[in-house]
Amino acid sequence: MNHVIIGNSFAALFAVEAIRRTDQDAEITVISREPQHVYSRAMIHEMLAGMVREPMVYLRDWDFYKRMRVRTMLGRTVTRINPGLHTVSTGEDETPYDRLLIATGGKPFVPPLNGLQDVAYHSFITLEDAKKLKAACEGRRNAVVLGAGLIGLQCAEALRHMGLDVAVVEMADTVLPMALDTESSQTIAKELADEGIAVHTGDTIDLIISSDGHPTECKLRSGGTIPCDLLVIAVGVRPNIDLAKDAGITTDRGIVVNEHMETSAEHIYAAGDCAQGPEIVTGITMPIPVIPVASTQGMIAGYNMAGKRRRYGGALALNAMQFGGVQVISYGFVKDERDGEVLKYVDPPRKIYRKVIIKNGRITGAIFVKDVDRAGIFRHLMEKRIDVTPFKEHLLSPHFGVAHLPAEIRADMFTRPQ
Amino acid sequence: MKRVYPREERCINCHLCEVACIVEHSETKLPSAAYHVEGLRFNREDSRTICDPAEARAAGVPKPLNRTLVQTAGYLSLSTNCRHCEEPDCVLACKNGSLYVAEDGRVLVQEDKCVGCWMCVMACRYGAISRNPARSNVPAVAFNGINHHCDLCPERELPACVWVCPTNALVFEDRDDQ
Ligand SMILES: Cc1cc2nc3c(=O)[nH]c(=O)nc-3n(C[C@H](O)[C@H](O)[C@H](O)COP(=O)(O)OP(=O)(O)OC[C@H]3O[C@@H](n4cnc5c(N)ncnc54)[C@H](O)[C@@H]3O)c2cc1C
Repeated sequence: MNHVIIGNSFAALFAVEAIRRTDQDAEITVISREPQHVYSRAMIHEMLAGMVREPMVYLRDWDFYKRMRVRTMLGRTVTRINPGLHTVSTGEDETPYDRLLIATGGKPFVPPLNGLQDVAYHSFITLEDAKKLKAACEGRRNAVVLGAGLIGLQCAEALRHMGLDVAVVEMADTVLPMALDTESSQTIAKELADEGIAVHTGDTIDLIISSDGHPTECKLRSGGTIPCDLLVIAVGVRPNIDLAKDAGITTDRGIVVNEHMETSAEHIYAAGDCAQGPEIVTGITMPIPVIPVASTQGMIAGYNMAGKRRRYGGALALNAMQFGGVQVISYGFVKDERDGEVLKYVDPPRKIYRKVIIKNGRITGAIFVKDVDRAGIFRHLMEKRIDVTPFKEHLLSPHFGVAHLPAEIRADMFTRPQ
Repeated sequence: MKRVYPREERCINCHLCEVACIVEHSETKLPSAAYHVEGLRFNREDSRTICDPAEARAAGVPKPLNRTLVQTAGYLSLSTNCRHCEEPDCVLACKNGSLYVAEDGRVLVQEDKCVGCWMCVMACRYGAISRNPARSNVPAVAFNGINHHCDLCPERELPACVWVCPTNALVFEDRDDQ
């Protein structure tokens, strides 16, 4: 069987490993626009800040492709998928496939802004972006980051760590508006302020003033003007669906896949940030652009491509992030409290905050600030759709653990191989 | 593969497994020296302070914790540790590939690569991962530490927790075919 994978990141990596585990003889080709060895996008802010050495961003050893017997075409962009011919095209050559995985991830969304066409600005998605930004920091004083999502804030923190003055501008009323609830985002906003990062929420850039192609100032909608000699646009990432769309594959926000990671086209699979698969709390399909989902979808796709039928029960949105001195872990929908019972535990002096939202006995969202140990048990409760009513009074006790779970769930977790 | 399985109906909440674990992973491998000289302390399910690397350092106990944890609810108790899953959620979530499945099936961490992002703590549905404050690969982050979980005692035939358990509430068995 001849497998072709477009992409060389988390989804692709775990697909390769699953295919090889299942089929020793399979041919595997990985094609990626980026020339680098398989690396983690989630490490680029630490790279930028000089907090980690470059080898720490690579996800596997240098001999990975050799060990996995993968043919690589790195630094090559796929321009077309031909489902009828069972080939993908890079413009120069055509590569045939029996099974194809689209793992093209996301691409930065750049909003129309007055003056943006006249200036050099940065995105912050790839290792190359981070290296370019690092080079551009030389001699700069005032960085402006548009967007206070995870990527924008990580970039802002890295730039601050490098000694620049940093301002973040965010349209929503809070930082991390998609990921956090009001309380936890206020905690993070305070950490950022303590680090000396100026956060302008409920605001946006109306005009970028420049000279000779370089930004000098940003005029904000609220009326103020902030100095700017380095501009990063980090308002969001959209699923990279163009190849699939052009090939007539069903797309919505992402490339639509079923629980086997199959797209609407025969023998073509999709996984990771580009895909839109079933979500577990709502049961509907949606893109969930986080590492564990990309990796797991890639693995499931790999098994199915190699002929081992595997089903994915659905993705749970989950994230772990850290800003200033605070660690946050979240699961599911942490803002949607409608028709839900909300349980909270707060310890402000230690910045500890825990919240669980329960609907019809099932947890639909959970968030943990600072005190995150054993939070993963909540993932289990959510993914297995376990009725927490019988033990809900224990959920937020600092003591809560597997001993509080019903006996049959404990037995399922601890008496058989996992 | 052989894994450690708790038998809660036999557990008497004595915490000897935690002691044996930390002694086995100490320098001296002697209980009193591990405690009094090396300064190793035990992680109890409610001892939150020594679980957070920043608070542990502030409190002067920046030492690794036991890798097995007795969890209790009333008179029910069971000793829990890494399940060494076949398709580990922690490996799938690891931000920079420092967690991996070894040839022998154990889930291990590259201690010089882990950046303490705690995606593994988020991912592990067994709550079996703790944060080791004794080592930091990203010292610029105040509460940085590294992943810490059961390694099945590579120097022993029988993991220390199983070996020490006075009531056989921990067993080391291959249940893969059951
Ligand atoms: C700065 C930053 C920080 C992040 N932090 C976190 C975090 O802390 N936790 C978390 O869970 N997630 C985080 N994420 C998100 C996480 O990185 C993604 O969920 C993950 O990388 C998705 O993996 P993927 O395999 O789907 O695609 P991607 O990582 O997006 O990779 C896509 C691949 O496809 C290739 N490609 C695209 N188009 C083509 C083409 N036409 N031809 C050939 N190759 C192509 C690219 O070169 C690349 O190799 C972060 C992302 C960024 C940018």
